[in-house]
This record gives sequence, C-alpha cells and structure tokens, in this order.
Amino acid sequence: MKQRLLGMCVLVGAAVGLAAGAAGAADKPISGNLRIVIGSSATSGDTYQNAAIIADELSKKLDINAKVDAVGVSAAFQALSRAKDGSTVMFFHDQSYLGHLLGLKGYSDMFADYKVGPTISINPGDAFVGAKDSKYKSIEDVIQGAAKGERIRVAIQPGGVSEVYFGALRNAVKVRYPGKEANVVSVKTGSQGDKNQLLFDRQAEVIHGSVQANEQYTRLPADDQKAMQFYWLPARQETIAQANPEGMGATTRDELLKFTSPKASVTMDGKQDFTFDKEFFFIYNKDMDPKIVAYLDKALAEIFAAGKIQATLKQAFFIPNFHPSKEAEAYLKKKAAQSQVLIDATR
Amino acid sequence: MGPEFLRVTIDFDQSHLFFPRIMTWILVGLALLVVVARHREFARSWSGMCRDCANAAKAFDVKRFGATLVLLVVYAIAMDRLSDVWPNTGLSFLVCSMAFTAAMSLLYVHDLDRKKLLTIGLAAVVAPLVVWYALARLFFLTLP
Amino acid sequence: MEILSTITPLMLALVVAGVLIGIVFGAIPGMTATMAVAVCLPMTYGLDLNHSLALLLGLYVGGISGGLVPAILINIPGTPSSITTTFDGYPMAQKGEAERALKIGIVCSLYGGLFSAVVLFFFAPALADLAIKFSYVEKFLIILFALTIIASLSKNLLNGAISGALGIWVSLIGTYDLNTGGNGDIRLAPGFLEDILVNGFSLLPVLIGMFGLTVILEEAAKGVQPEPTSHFKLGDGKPFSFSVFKGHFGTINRASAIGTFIGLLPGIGGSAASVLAYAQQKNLSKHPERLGTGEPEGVMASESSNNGLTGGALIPLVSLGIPGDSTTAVMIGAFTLQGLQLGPLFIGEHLGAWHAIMLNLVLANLVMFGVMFFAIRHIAKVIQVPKHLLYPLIVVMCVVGSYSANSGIMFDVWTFLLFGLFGYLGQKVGLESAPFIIGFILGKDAEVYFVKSIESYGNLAIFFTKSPIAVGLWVLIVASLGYAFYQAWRNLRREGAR
Repeated sequence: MKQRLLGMCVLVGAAVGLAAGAAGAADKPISGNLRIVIGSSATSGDTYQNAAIIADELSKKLDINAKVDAVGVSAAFQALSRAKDGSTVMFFHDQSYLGHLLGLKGYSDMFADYKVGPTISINPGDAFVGAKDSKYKSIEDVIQGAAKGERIRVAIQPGGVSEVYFGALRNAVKVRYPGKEANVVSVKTGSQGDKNQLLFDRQAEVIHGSVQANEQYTRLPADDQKAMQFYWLPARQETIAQANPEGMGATTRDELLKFTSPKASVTMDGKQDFTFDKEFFFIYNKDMDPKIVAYLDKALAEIFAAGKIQATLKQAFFIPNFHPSKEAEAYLKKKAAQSQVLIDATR
Repeated sequence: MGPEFLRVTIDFDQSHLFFPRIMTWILVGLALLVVVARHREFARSWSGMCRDCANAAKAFDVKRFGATLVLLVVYAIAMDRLSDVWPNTGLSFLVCSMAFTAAMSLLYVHDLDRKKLLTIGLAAVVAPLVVWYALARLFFLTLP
Repeated sequence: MEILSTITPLMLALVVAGVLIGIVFGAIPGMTATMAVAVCLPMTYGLDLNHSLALLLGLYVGGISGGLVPAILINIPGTPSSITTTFDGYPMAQKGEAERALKIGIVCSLYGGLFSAVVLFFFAPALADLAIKFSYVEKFLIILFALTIIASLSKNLLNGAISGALGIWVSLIGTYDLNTGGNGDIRLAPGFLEDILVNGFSLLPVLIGMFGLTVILEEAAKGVQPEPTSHFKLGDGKPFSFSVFKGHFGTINRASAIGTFIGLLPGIGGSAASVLAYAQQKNLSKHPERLGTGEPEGVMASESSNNGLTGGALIPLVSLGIPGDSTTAVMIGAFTLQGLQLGPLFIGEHLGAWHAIMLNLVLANLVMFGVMFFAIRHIAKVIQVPKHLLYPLIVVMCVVGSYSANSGIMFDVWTFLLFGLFGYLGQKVGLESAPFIIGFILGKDAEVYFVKSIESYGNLAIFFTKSPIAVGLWVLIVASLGYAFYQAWRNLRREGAR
C-alpha cells in the first residue's frame, strides 16, 4: 500500500515535470524561468533596482519569467557556477572584480572564472559629502586641508567601490603634496545611516554618500546639525550630463555638474582627473553556450533600441549604458587595471 | 579623552577577531563557573545517569526518531540534486515534498486504517501542490 | 476629511490583499513581512504611489501581525518578533485558551499599530532628531540592555547566561561583514569549512530550526503519541472578553511605546522590540513568576510592541531617508522606482505621499483587525489537525521558509536541520533556546557597535561619558541585572526553604 502511494506521488510529480518541460522545449536558447542572482543581499539597494528594471524588460521581450534573487556575492557566484545551461545569470557592479583585487573572501577572478556579459546601466549618484558648517567648502578645500596637515577622516564602506574613491582622494593628495597623504584616513563603516550618523556626530569630515540619499540634507539650513554639502561626484561629467535636466530633488543636473571633474578635480597623476562610473553588468557561467550570450545580447540591444527603458532608468536617477558582451569585457578589464593602480597606492 | 588605562586601539585588519575573542573568554569563564557551582550536582547525576538512561531509553522511540533524521537528510539532498534536473522551476521541491510528506505521515501515524491512509495520500499530494503553486507560480519565489 | 476622498475601491482591495498575503507570510514559519514586501515589490511597478503604498503597508502590517498565529497555536514564532508571544501564548493554548490568546494578541496588535501611527503622524520630525542622538555608543548600550534581559528570561540564571553567550558566539561565525563596516575576514570557522561558512548562519533558519524542528524531533523521540492530553481542545478554557484588558492599559501603552522607540532607531533590529517589552513586563509585573505560564499580559506586551514597531520604523524612513527596520528598507526601493526621494524634506515636499502613507497605515491596521479577529476561530482549528499530518507540513513550510530566507540558498535548509538537532540535543543538557536566540539576534549588532565605538574613540571610558543618554542606559542596565539577580536569589531561597 505504502509503495503504491509513493509511486503515485512520483508519477504525479513526473507528469507535472514533463508538462512544464514540454512547454519550455521551444527553439529558444532560454525559456521558462531565468534566475538573476545579484551580488548584494539587500532588496533595497541600487543593484536590486537596476536588476529589477532589466528583468522586467527581459521578461516581456523574451516571454520568460526573469526573477531577481538577492543572494549576496558568494552565493551568487556559487549559483552561477552550477548553471552551465544559462538558467541562472548574475547581475552586479564593479564590486565583482574589485572584491577580487582587494583579496576579499568569497570572490574569484571574474575575468578568468566567469564570462563577462553586457553592461546595462550606471548609478552616477555616488558622492563625497560633508557637513554644511564645515570649514571645507569644496573638495579642493579638503585636499588643501590635508596639505596643511589637518586630519581628514573619510567614512567609507570597506572593500569595494567606496575604498577606490577613498584611494583616489588619498592618491591625489600624494601626487600634489607628497607625504601629506597620511593625513587622509578612512573610517570604516557600514550603511548609509551609519555614515550619516558619523557626520552628525562630527566623527568624520567627509562621508561617502549619494545624490539620491543626501540631496535633501544639502537643502537644510546650515544651523541644522543634519545639514550637508556635496564635495565631489566621482562619476564622469559625460555620464551626469545624460541625466534628466531636473537632476534629483531640487538640485538640477547643471548644479550637480559642478561637483564632477573638471570643476571638482581629484587628480590621478597630475594631468588627468580620476573618474569612476559605477557600472552594472551581467556575469555568466564560463561554459554557457555562446548562442545564449548572443541571444541575450541581441534581446538587450533591441530593448535599448526601443527606447523605453531609458526613461525608466533615468526616472530612478540611473544612466542607461548598454554595451554588448565583447565590448563590455574589454572595457571592464581596462577599468580593473586602473583600479589596481589606486588600490596599490593606498596600501 | 578618558583615562589612560582604558585606552584600547583596534587594528582594522585584525578587528574581526576582537569581539569573538571576548565572547570566547566569556564562554570559557561561564563554563568554569558552571563546573564550580555544580560539580556536586554533576557527581550525583553521574551515578544516577545510568538509571535515568535506562528509563529514558524505554520511552525513547528509536525507530521514529532515527527515521525522522534520515528522512530529513534524504529530503534535503534529493531536493538539491533534483533541482539541477529542473532548474528554477520548483519542481524538485514539489516532487520531493510530496514523497517526504507521505513518508513522514506514514512514519508518525498510529493504527493506520483505510481512512487515515486516504487522508495521508490526499494531504501529501494536495498540500505541496498548493504551496508550490502559490509560491512558485503566483509569487515567483525561487524554490529548489 | 478630504483625505478620505482619496480612497478608491482599488486601494481598498489592495490593502485587503496586502494584509491577507502579509498574514500568510507572517504565519509561515521562516517567512517574514520583509519577504512579503520584497516578493510583491515588482507588482507595484505598474501602480501609482498611492496604490503601491496600499499594497506595501498592508503587507507590512499583515506580515508583522501574522506571526502571532503559529506562535500561539504551535509554539513556533512565525517571525522573529513573535518569539516572546510563544512564552505565554502557547501555554494559554495548552490550557484550551487558544482563541482567547489569539484575540488578545490581535487586539493588542491593532492598538500597537494605531499607537505608532499616531506617534508617526504627530512627532516624526522631532523623534528623528532624537534618533540621531543615538550613535554607535548608545546603540551598543541599548543592545547590551536588551542582552541583560536574557537574565530575567532564563529559567536558570547560569544556564541562561551560557545559552545567551553561546548564541552571540554562534552569530559571529563567518565573515565580519563588509556591509556593516567589518573587514570581510572570516573567523570562528575551521579552515576546511570556510567556503561553506563564509556568510555564517542566518537568523531565520536558526530560529525555526530551534523552535520548529526541535519540537518535532522531541515528539518523534516520544513516538508521536496521538494522546488526547497533548491534543487540547479549542476554547474549553476561558472565553475571550474585553475585560481581560482591565488594569493592563499601562502594560499595552508601555509595550507599544517601547516598540515604536526601537522601531525609530535605525540599525537596531525589530525583534529587539518585543524582547525588551516582554522583559519590562516581567520586571514590572505584580506576579513576575506567573509570566511564562500562560498569562494574558505576556501576550499583550509582546504583541503591542511588535506592531508598535511599524509606525516607529517609518519615522526615520520619512524624516531621514533611513529605514528603521529591514522591511522599511525594502520599501525604499518602491519610493525610488516611483521617482520619489526620501529624506529630511520628504514630508514637507510630498505632502500627498505623506498623507497616503498615514491613511494606508491606519487602513491596514483596521483591515488586519477585521480580517484576523473574525477569521481566527477558523484559523485556530489548525491545532485539531492530527500530528501525523501536521508535522510533515510544518517541516515542508519551514524548509521553504529557510530556503527563501536569502532568496534561495540550500545552505539555509541545512542550517535549519542542523539547528533543529542542536536545539534538541542542547535542551537535554540545559540549553535554553530563548536566551540563545536572543543572543544570536543581537550578537552581530553588539559586535559592530562595540568595535566601532572603540575604533572611533579609542577609549573604553566613552561608554560611560559619551552623553546623558549613555548614563541613563547604564542605570537601566544595572537595574535590570540587579533585579534579575535579586529574583534568582529569592527563588534559590524559596527552594532552600522547601
């Protein structure tokens, strides 16, 4: 009796499985469910939002169910390693190779162990922010302060993009005032809330914030303990220039451009300014069929050609930035090499 | 700021060990406290242990307990393996849960009769199906 | 009253749907309000802000409230914030008062929710300014205070202390999280397990393993007897009546206020709210020894506080742009995708959205009450399902909950199984699961705030000299510990006298 029952269960299951399999056995390289794992475990961050936007578009375009799962870096790479069939892809930003360059746990060499997919978008909002009543009124003031021997504490999140920005600032001081870079020190902290708090407590002169999270704070009256000012946006000028003219909140795009290079300059080598776009892109399993790569490249190219996704991205203050897989790989490799230089400079 | 003897500096590269070390010492301290406070109790219970064991063993259902553990482990392994066969569909979860529910019910049931068998079979098919449909199909939750 | 004219039929439908889905997620062990909001977030892309908020706040309130159902009926907290509901809710159910306990919980949930909504509406900006007075140092002290509660919650002081310390220790396994400002290095994990333990153990699988699976393993060891004694009947104990709240108005208000306060502090997890409220209840109660044996006031404290959290957690969200708990963190995404910016100027600049939040929050609470209070008779019938059918289902739900805890990771299922066995074996040697889990919940936060305080100030004296708030918190910590030792000493003497 027991065996018959068990048999029945297996049969029912198998039937359901077959039905689902048959439905998905059309001629497309991917069909049915596509799992997009992201390198962040937060469903509240910019990675999730960008992934959600692109997943939504892909679902419609390819008639599939694209589902974003915020599993975190190490779990995302693990899930990706198992999915040679392209049923799971990963979506993340520059952190995916920076983590490896910084020698963090859970990261492996993205360029060697995985396949780099197309880039999708940029979050241009990263910003260095200070208190409004600070004596430093610009990033140049901050650099001059360090040159005069004043201690500049910069609140950053360790092990990532944030650390590269910090490295750039420190490097700029080193290039212009050799030996003074020791005055620029990092305060390692976590969430946006924690960084704001360090500024409120005046336990940091500069924090790594963002246009999205801190813009309203810059409009508070200067006598408010919470009031802030922008110093520097590491994004490229051309990137910010693509944002909607309204900018963010009551700060227009033109006002934001005052905080990018060249007006706010953090030099790389005395000639060229350091700039960095935080880019979002896909990562695939190393052995994923090139047919699927081409298929996704083509689908994404069509989505971007249709032009609707640009508006969606820009409404959330993201900048569309589609480049097919081949281009993306070469580009990101170059960017990784540049970051390596800065990481070495801070060590 | 503050008196000299309370000064502490933490090297960031080693900061991951700072708090865990404190906790390890607290744990060791508490464990020693238990030994000191209860050594008599321990000695007493040691001699009484064999009697207790014998009593406990009588009431202990080795079959159901052992089989539960085995079932749970098999359930988890099977679900993981099968999810490579049907990736991202939750079908592995569905099939394994049906088998698991049926097996565990049959393991736990007393005085099995026709009616009970029928409800077990029904529950084993319907419940996982409802869960799977609601979560995987309506909410697009990723299931194994 | 013109604000009421913004209510549309679709909005009502979305609130109801949100509350219902939220309750189901909250009631499934291992699934939480946060997950419900995350899962339904994509559904809001097509809606305008008002309707998105209707759905999301419905999910939030429903999800926080649903946790009390399994806590009372089967002794498994549906969400981490309903752990303390099991302490008195389940004993009440065993006495045949399941329906009464559920209704008390629901009434208190409504009260806590509305209390926090009122606070949110009138005091949000002022309280946000209070919240930013709490830096690393004060936050560490609040967590320390919450940890001292372990002393008053444990059956045996020494066992409780060891269990709590072990809980903290286990929570530290894995990497020192970069996202909280750690250095990303791994600790407390042997070399060959580093790859597996890199992220450590997650709260939800540990929680439902220790509360859910442990119970089932214990029953299995006893042979899963279908005896009528363990299979209590519904409602043959005292029926519910509103007179139960007589003399407990203070309790409910205090617990709601504690919940709202913890909610408004960013970076202190929501589950600390009910733990603090329950412990205060125990310290201030006229019969502290009866708490934990099925006292309605225990359920009241726990449930008013965890719903009091909702409005509290929205305070920093709307007035600082910083979420007060994990669920409101997910909601930020909804605002961003609507092109709406949160921050200190949000309320003034987006008055319409602000009113929509308030309206939907109040509606969600009322709908939650309406749905749960009248449906509870039927929901309570769960405990009449025979064990041989109920237990496999609980395991299946727990497995789903664990797997989904981090959006689909098999390791979390193994965590669930491991800690089920750990809880079972641990109880044999006197491990107490409530102190262990409280230590586990608070361990990582305690570490970050402790280490970061020292990194910032370089001197331990800062914990005493930082601010008047810090001094006040020390007074509470000492009082709480002193009281617990006094209780333990009195119990010891009473036992000695016998």
